[in-house]
Amino acid sequence: MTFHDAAARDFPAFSTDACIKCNVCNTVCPVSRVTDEFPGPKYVGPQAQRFRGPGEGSDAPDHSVDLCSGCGICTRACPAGVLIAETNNRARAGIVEERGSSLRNRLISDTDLLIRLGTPVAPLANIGLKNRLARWFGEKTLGVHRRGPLAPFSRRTFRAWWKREKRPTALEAGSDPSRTVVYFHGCAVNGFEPDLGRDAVEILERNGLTVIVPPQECCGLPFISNGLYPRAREKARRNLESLAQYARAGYRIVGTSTSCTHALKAEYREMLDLADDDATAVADATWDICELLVDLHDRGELDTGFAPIAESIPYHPPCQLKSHGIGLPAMDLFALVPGLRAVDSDHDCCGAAGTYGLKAERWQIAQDVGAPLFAKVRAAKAAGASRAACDSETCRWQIEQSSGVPTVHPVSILAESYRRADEAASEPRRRLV
Amino acid sequence: MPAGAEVDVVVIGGGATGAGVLRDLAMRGLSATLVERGDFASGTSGRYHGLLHSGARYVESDPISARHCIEENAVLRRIAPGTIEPTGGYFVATPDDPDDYLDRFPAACAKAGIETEPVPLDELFRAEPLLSREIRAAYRVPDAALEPWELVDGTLNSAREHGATAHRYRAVIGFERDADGSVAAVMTRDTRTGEEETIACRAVVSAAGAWAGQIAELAGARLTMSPGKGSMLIFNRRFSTAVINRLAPPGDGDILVPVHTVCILGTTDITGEDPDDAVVTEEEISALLADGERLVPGISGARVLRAYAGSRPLYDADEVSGAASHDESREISRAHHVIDHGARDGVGGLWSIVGGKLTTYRLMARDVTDAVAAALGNDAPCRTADEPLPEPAGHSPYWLGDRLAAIEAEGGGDADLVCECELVTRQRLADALDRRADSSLDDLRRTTRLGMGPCQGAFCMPRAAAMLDARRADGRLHPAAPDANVALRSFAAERLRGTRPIAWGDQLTELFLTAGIFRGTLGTDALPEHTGGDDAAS
Amino acid sequence: MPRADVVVIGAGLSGLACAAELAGSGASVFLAAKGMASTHWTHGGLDVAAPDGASTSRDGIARLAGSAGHPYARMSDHVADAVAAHRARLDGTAVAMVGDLDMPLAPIPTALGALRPAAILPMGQGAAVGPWEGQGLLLLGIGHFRDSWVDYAARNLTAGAWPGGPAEIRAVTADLPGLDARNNLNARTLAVLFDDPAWRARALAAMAAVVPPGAWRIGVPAVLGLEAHAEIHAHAQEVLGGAVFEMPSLPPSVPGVRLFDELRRRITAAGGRIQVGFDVVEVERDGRRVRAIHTEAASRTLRLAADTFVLATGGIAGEGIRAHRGRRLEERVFGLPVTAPNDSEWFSDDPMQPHPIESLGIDVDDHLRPIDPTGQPVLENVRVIGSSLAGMRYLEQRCGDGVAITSAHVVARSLAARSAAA
Ligand SMILES: Cc1cc2nc3c(=O)[nH]c(=O)nc-3n(C[C@H](O)[C@H](O)[C@H](O)COP(=O)(O)OP(=O)(O)OC[C@H]3O[C@@H](n4cnc5c(N)ncnc54)[C@H](O)[C@@H]3O)c2cc1C
Ligand SMILES: Cc1cc2nc3c(=O)[nH]c(=O)nc-3n(C[C@H](O)[C@H](O)[C@H](O)COP(=O)(O)OP(=O)(O)OC[C@H]3O[C@@H](n4cnc5c(N)ncnc54)[C@H](O)[C@@H]3O)c2cc1C
Repeated sequence: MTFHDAAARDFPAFSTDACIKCNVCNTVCPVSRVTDEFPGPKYVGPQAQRFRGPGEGSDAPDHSVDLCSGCGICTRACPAGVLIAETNNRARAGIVEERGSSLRNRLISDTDLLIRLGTPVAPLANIGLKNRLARWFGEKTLGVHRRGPLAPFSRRTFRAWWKREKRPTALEAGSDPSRTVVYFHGCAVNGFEPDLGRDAVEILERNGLTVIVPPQECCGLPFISNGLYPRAREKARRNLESLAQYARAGYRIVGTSTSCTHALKAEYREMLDLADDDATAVADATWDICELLVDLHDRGELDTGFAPIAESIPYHPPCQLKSHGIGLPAMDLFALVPGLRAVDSDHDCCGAAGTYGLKAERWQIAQDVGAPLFAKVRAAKAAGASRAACDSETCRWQIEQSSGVPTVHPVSILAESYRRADEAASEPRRRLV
Repeated sequence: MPAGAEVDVVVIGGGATGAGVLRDLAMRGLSATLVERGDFASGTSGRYHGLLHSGARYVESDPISARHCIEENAVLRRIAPGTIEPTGGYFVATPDDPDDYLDRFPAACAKAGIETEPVPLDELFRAEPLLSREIRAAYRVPDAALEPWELVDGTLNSAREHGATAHRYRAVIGFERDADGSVAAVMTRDTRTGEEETIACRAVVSAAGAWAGQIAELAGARLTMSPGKGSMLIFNRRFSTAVINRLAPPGDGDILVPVHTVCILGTTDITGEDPDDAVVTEEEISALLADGERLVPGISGARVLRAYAGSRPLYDADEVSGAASHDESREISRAHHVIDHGARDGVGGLWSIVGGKLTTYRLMARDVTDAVAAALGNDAPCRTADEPLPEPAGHSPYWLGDRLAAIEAEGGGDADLVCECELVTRQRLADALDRRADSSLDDLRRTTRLGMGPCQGAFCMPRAAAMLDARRADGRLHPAAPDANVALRSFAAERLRGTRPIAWGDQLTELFLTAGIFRGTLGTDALPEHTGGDDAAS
Repeated sequence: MPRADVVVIGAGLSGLACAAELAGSGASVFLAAKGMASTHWTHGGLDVAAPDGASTSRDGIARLAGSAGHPYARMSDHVADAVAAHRARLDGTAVAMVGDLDMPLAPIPTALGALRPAAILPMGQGAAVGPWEGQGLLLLGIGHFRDSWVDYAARNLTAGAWPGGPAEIRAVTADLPGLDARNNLNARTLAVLFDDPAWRARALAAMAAVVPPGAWRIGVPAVLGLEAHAEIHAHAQEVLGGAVFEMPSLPPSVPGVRLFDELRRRITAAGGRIQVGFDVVEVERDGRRVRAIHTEAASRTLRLAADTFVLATGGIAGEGIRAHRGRRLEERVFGLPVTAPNDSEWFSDDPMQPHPIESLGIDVDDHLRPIDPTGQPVLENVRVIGSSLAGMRYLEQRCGDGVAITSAHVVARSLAARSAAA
């Protein structure tokens, strides 16, 4: 059973039929490694699925599936091709459909709303985020853990900056699909890490690509992870509406968040059942930024004038990246930077899993899952690393907050290397600010 | 009447019918005992399709059966709700089904007293998203899923409450007859110990189903059975929430019944095979899947867990009723027939009850008991439709998710699961063993669903065998029960028998994994024949 | 994606061993697999050859090599080297192997209390072999763990014949801290608990408390830690006062997980890449050569080009070969011809005995290239290793691991030699 067979078939969670009960999934699950509360992927996945009834959301007899963090490691380990994490996610959606969802889950999923509320009052909001009393209050009233990994709001959104700079939001006449890309910035860049967006645009432009940023919303993944499929579908449909025209015309859609890009590539079709032509076109056109840069390199089109960065950096490939099935493109790119030694964390999951690690009742689990990783990152720092790298935002925030080591996206390191090269050549390009 | 009769009546056969007869006799105040050569409900009653018929299937071909079914359908819902999953059912017309049948169907049902209701297609597909979109009409009928083991168990328990006894693993091997030819005693043999026992009695009811001909022969009576083999396929999951029937004259793969975690597609119908040698053939499997495709497209690519066959207890209609001859067993009446061998063959005191459906077991029991009771001078009324059966443990009525919900309510988790596929807990097995200390693993399977899921026992067999062994060591196992190694081996063989015919795809992978675990890691190829004494364990 | 010298498909013992050896010899290797497989299911020992009647593995190899069509018929000269290479890879790790090809095949007790022949075992199981010389066997079970059946096993071991076996066989069960309150318990969760030094100390103390006086070799469930196994094993022997060996039970196999992890680390440390989780879904060919394979991905496939492709996708269990209805067999990556026994019946009635179908697989030439029925290579730059190979019944002949590492070694060595020459 391949992903696409399963999605194409009319059988929800049909892939669970392939389970031979062999327990491989149970040996890799990071959550059941640290807590007895979670019965593990086999039990909540293919096993429980047989007791759930053929319709989505009908007769959900279970609740422990809600402890699944959705990291997807089980799906990748399964020798029989069972889409375990995906099945769990659908089951959670069924439970939410039947029994409703908490205010907390609806709120933390709605990143567009949070950004709309947070950025105008960013300084104040950020004080709140740092304020122990406010966080304590947030935990008691909402169930958002007081030490849950939250990033400070940016004062200005990435989109606002883009608009101010009068940068393109649509194709210009005579655009060339091979030389123009659509940037899907995601909520993280928009509301919390606009600098990463600027790094990405800088790199793309440096490599001869025109970047456009058409209208877009949150990809909907937080809603998907929290089982709020109808809300996720609203987001997805609006994104598809905006992006499909580019995809059909042969333009690539590039993202800096492996979570958002995975939603565009896979979840829209596999979880939300949006398997129409638009969804397929967008899925086929979507690229993770490192994946795209490696592709440029393979074609001999990547500017390899990287200046040395003499440092050994711990790199954590996030679960979402691994679910892309594109290898470890960041590692290939790091290898192009002289002096840079990236060390694969060789650890399964940081624990954050999107919004999972924020939840008061899950925070400790998420910490325990990531603990060996945090230790490795701390050790790397002690050995001289100035930072860690990771492709997914919530994982970065989790690693940074739990290890105390600044954690950046791989392209930020590449951008820095390019800038150093420019400085060395004393012809600094305009840095995007 | 022979003096010193041990019981009034011996009932032969521990399927639904025999159990029903035993209960009816006991409730009328007659002393009765039942003997079954295997486990209870291990004959056709444990190898049937799982459907509590509404009768709609037979409205045209067999209106008597149809009427029996709908009447008993209501009775069983009243007296045995815990054994029924009220799934409801649909009759659906595919493009291959005849128009005229479709046109006549509602009226025919109405005439038989079966409520039907046309179902708009969009509603049907919402409720049953996996059904073929080529279906062009649908009717709702009061079908349901009926759990045979719990039903037989409950019926026997009720009979016991009224003073009857029932013995499994006791085969009838002959009869003692009086000078006038009537039966005076039944000779039996314990199939595990070989011990023989003769039970003197005033009357005998043969409820031996497809084997009734053999019993009649042992008594010197005449009864030609025409067993119709029916093969079925068990799929790993449900494809529908309700029973799905083809809106057509009965055919091969034309009914899909959701049963617990699985669904069962069936059945073929092949006349005249030995009921002890019902093997599922490749041709039957192909026919079933081809027909199943018309109901659920893609079903032939889905995972089949097992194939099995049952033997319809059909009698030769010519011989019994002198009716016109039929060439296909499906056209022989499904309605039951009581045969008084005294009147017919000069073997007094012996009655056979044949034909019928599991759905109509109580009615069959009533009819034969009426005859026997009258002959024995008992005129107590039949009360089996009024008094409910004792509740099966745990649920009433059951639903698909109940085991999972029960485990989740206790905090969830797998630590106490012996059979993970079917969520059989250690406690459930222990309870089953407490009730029946002479159980083999296969016997445990019938009452607990042990080993009935996708892995077909790969993981639970050794765990459950170890439980048997522990009980044997501390004297809690019946001496006649097989020891753990014998039980393990025979259960594994029994599981393999059902997977072999469908050993392709995922189920073959599972079979290889199982072989690897058993022979590779556990070394079962070198397992001693019997486990040793308990001197080893402290 | 930078192209690799060799793409290995499959992460079972054969694929891992081959990739590790290739990466170690400096070749660029990409290992792509759909999932994990038999390492996680089997006992974790190294079954090289133990057909009926064999006295040692070497004798077993010779017997099997004598039967036409058996993979050892082509490779018997390389088994010793392969075993040496494999041992060298694992030496100094917690999964280091003990025993060798010339050791008498000894009956060792299984978790169910049967005996199986073994000679080469991971260090943690090593004490199961070797003459008993008056020592007793103590099976020390873990309470509440559903896959530990020591009383049953002890009774079976007592009932069966065990020439030269232990002087006495006893079973005891220890209740380890907190297990009675756990909702979830399997071999892996126990192993994770053992990795925790504080819990382990209490657990070993509870185990020590049930050990009766006497000279025992002690069999325990195979759950003595994942990360800290070597340390835990040593600690257990010290605390329990006797040689301790692990007894693998139902999957998941903790010894196998350790082996998998160790080999994976070897490969990545030597610069090899591993991607697990994605099926091969497409093959680019150029006549009798394979140019590239594509693995499934979230959207576009991942293209992996290489000079040579090693097929290590296992047999039916690993899903490298699938059977379809009507006895149609399919090799799933390249569509290679699959050879199955001609017997009209594929299965025996007895689930405890070999099924004829078990010998199915891919026929190969001396270079382990897949061949068609006329003996011609079907694909020139494809090599087939492990349980994908036709002609063995690994459970009966107990040769699955030996064939896996030997075929891996033969291929790795010839490719390494070639890339060195190039
Ligand atoms: C394929 C198939 C599908 C069916 N589907 C349905 C359905 O969906 N719904 C429905 O209502 N009906 C169905 N039926 C019909 C129904 O299963 C049978 O009518 C019913 O189970 C018969 O029960 P019984 O007790 O008469 O026979 P059995 O259950 O066969 O009982 C007879 C017993 O006699 C025992 N016996 C035999 N010889 C001896 C001996 N010498 N000594 C002691 N004991 C002996 C046997 O071991 C057996 O247990 C189906 C039948 C078949 C074959
Ligand atoms: C349960 C069990 C018990 C066993 N016990 C013994 C024993 O006691 N003694 C003995 O000698 N042998 C035993 N064996 C056999 C032995 O373990 C194997 O022969 C040996 O491990 C070699 O395995 P392998 O590498 O060939 O394949 P496997 O371990 O089967 O691995 C196959 C790999 O290929 C991958 N794969 C398959 N298809 C694709 C695809 N299309 N694309 C990408 N990847 C794919 C799989 O995901 C997996 O990673 C046992 C086997 C099993 C299954």
